[in-house]
Amino acid sequence: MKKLLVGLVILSLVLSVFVGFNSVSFAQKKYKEAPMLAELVKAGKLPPVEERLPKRPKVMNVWKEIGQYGGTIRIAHIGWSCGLWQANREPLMETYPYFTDKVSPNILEKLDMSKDGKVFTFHLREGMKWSDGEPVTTEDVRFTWEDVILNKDITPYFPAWLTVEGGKPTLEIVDKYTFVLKFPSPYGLFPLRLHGYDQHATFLLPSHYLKKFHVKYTSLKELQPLIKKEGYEPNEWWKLFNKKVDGTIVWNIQTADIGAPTLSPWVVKERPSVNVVILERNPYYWKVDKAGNQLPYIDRIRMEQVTDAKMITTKIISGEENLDRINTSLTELALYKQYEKEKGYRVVIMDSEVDTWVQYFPNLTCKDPVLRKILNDVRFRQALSLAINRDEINKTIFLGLGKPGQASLRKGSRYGKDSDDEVFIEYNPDKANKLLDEMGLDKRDKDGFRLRPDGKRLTLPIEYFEVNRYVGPVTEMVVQYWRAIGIEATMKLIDSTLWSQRYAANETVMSVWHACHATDDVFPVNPFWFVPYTSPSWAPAWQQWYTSGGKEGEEPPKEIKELYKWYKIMITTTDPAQRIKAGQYITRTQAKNLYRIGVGSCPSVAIVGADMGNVPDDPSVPSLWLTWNAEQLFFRQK
Amino acid sequence: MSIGFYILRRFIIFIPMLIIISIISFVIIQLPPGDFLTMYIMQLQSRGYQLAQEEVARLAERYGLNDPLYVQYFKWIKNIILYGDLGRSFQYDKPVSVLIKERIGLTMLISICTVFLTWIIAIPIGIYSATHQYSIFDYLFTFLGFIGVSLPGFLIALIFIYIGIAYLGINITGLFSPQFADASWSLGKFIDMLKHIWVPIVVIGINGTAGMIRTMRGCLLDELSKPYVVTARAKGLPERKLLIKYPVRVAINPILSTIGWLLPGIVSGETLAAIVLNIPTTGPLLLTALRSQDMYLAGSFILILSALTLLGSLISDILLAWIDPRIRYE
Repeated sequence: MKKLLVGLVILSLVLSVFVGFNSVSFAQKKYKEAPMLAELVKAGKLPPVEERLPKRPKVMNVWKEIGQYGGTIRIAHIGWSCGLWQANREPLMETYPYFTDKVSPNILEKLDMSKDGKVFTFHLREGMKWSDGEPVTTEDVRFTWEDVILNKDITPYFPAWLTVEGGKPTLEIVDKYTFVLKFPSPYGLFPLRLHGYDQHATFLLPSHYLKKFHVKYTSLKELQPLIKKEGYEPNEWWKLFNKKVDGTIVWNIQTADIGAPTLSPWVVKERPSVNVVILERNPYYWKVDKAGNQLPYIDRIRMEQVTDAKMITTKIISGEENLDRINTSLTELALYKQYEKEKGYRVVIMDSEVDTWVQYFPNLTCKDPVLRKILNDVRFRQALSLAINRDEINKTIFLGLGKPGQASLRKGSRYGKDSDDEVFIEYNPDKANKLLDEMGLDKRDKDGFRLRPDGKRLTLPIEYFEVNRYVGPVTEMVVQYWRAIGIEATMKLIDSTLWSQRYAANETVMSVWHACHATDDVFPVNPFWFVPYTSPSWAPAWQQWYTSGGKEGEEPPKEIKELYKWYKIMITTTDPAQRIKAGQYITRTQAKNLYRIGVGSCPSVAIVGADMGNVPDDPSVPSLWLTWNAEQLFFRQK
Repeated sequence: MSIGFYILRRFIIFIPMLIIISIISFVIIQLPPGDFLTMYIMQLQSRGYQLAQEEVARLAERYGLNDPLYVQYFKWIKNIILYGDLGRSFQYDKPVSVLIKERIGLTMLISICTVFLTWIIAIPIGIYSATHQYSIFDYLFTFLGFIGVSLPGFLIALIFIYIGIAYLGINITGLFSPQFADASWSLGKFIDMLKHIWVPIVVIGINGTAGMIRTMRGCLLDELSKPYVVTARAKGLPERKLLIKYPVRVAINPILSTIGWLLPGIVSGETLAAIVLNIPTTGPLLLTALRSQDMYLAGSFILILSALTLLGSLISDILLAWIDPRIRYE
């Protein structure tokens, strides 16, 4: 009896161990992988997917459905502007829902902020790996901080976005996966800032790889042949090192090195010819969908550099591309549609992430004192806005698909009001004329142009460069509208470098740009269209005063200083309600003062493969979404 | 004077010429406002990316853009003379020599094919037109020739592209079909390339061919009426032998003297047509380098082309002297 009991106990123990094992192996089986990787695992060339993924992978919310593996994204670009750089961009934190200011972890598993907003505790994902299979640990963080950021040769200037009042933060490594950053004063915006473009590189570089190019770990003698091969001056090892750092940042397709470890969904695999780069899935990518499929769904990306933007249209209508949103144009819509069925792609109308594609911003600190006084009068800017026939522009340039509007934030923003879009947008030349007359600009010369108080003709030179494809044609119309109210507007297309020089010398009078940084995820971080603290802005001299700490430029008036004060509150405060209040104050000043005069928004055209899934069918989603979340796009397999 | 001494003297003249050319081209590249970095910053800003001030300063230092112009020039020239190092391209972050090497093969292939095609077509037609002046075929070739001379190559390329897409449903740009584009070299890929390469060759060659037909015809007509032709004919020389041996040899002079211009042309390729047809030759590379003020890439390229022009004109002179005994080395 006793024996039986003992036997039963042993049996149950054995069983429980089995059950336990079973549950463990079941748990491990819950992840699925692409067939091309499963084959490599079978051949023993790659560890199983459970070992490649971190203990707790990032679960991504796909647009609609669980995808299927396979396929190649084919995309063309003209060197600078490739829409796909966002696809390979992995920040430490992301915002979800996208385009809001709600921060959630991405590369990090968790980020804790202390109550006073000074101490940030970063938790890396345990078991996360670089694309070559090496683990991501705090040794990478220590290396990046001590040997890269604080190394004067590699980083001569400490990053300004990491500097707060009181100086630099200090780093403390807690354990293999935890590190702490302590700032001398509060920095409430810091988590949202971590969502910036390539800022994982500020804390995380693949140390095991880059140590091979750092004099602290590899002698200068060993590096010398490599330095020479790259054509740098002897002993300039930091140039070689910086090049290798750029090589690990895959979104920059010009400089990305084959085989350099990254955290991106796709890694550079080969360059079969001078103008083609082929990327292949990162077998160690750390995101899964809700069903446990390792992302990305799509196997490869083929990027081809073409010689001219028009070539891309040719490629689209011959069905050679299956993802594009940057080099498409609304004006070619009819052409895209004509070949859509036959060539197997789909034209999707999405929103654009910018608020207004064309906005005019005067130089409020311009050198001519008479003109400056006129430009600084809010009635003048109101008159300019009322004189523009936005409906006509919409019909002529945007095929009637756009929406007339003022320069503000995008609809639904927590920091702005939707009604800000409608301030002074009606077409009312009579009212505009009245406003100008009230200002004392009622005298006209024989050609019908208004005279300034000093008796000269009121001319308004618009100097612009082709920042986007709409500024030229829209400006041609705007010049006529402004002439109609007696202002001699002129337009001049100049080179972007000339514009930036003239801007820096405070010589521009009226410039044109699009209103970018208009969504809640980027507005609090970069509200430069609302607050003149960096270029481009509508007040170069005040901006200079601000960045130089009052040493250069001109001291701004009280209301601009107030604007700077709220800008600072927005960066430092730890209280979300306070940040929103600051943001609203800032957007309010624009609506009241019309520092920029907007024309309106227009949709963005995206081209996707006919069989591509998880493409948002919601026209209010900015097309940026597509490339931003390319890892969840997939091709329906037959 | 011996030909050896003549060549030596020409080579010595090359040195000051090249120095002057290098200075002028370096200065001209720098003439537009700003530099590569301002261009780069503006490009990033128009994409909605703000480059931090400290990053700008770091890049300026990395590219050596803080140095005065003459320091930049001497650094560049020193490395070329001492190490044969042409410097680095900012835009591609690669040595200039690597960039040019990557593209030079294809460029030369297309250019050389074009040159031969031009000669093979133009010289016989030119001779025919001159000897059969005012015949139906002469009028026909003259008509076609004027079209060829007056239509720019890129326009012809655009018409080809349009016909390809609108009527044939194919994209004739590029050099390969999609299925061969990324494959390694094979017989299939070579045949595929031959299917595509005729477009740029015809497009680039059409102007040159038409022009050369006109030159050949004109020069030969001048010669045909000269007394020595009449004399030769009176002596009973067979018409074909007479033609090839005397007037054609003289009439070909203008063509030989332009061989010098061919040499840089072979290396730089036809830029506009290459852009329109999306062919990764060196021409578009030079154009983007100039536009983005990628000065070492642009400067080195111009220097190479200038050296080739000088060399080419020397070759032309030697060829002329060899073909035409009337020319002396003085």
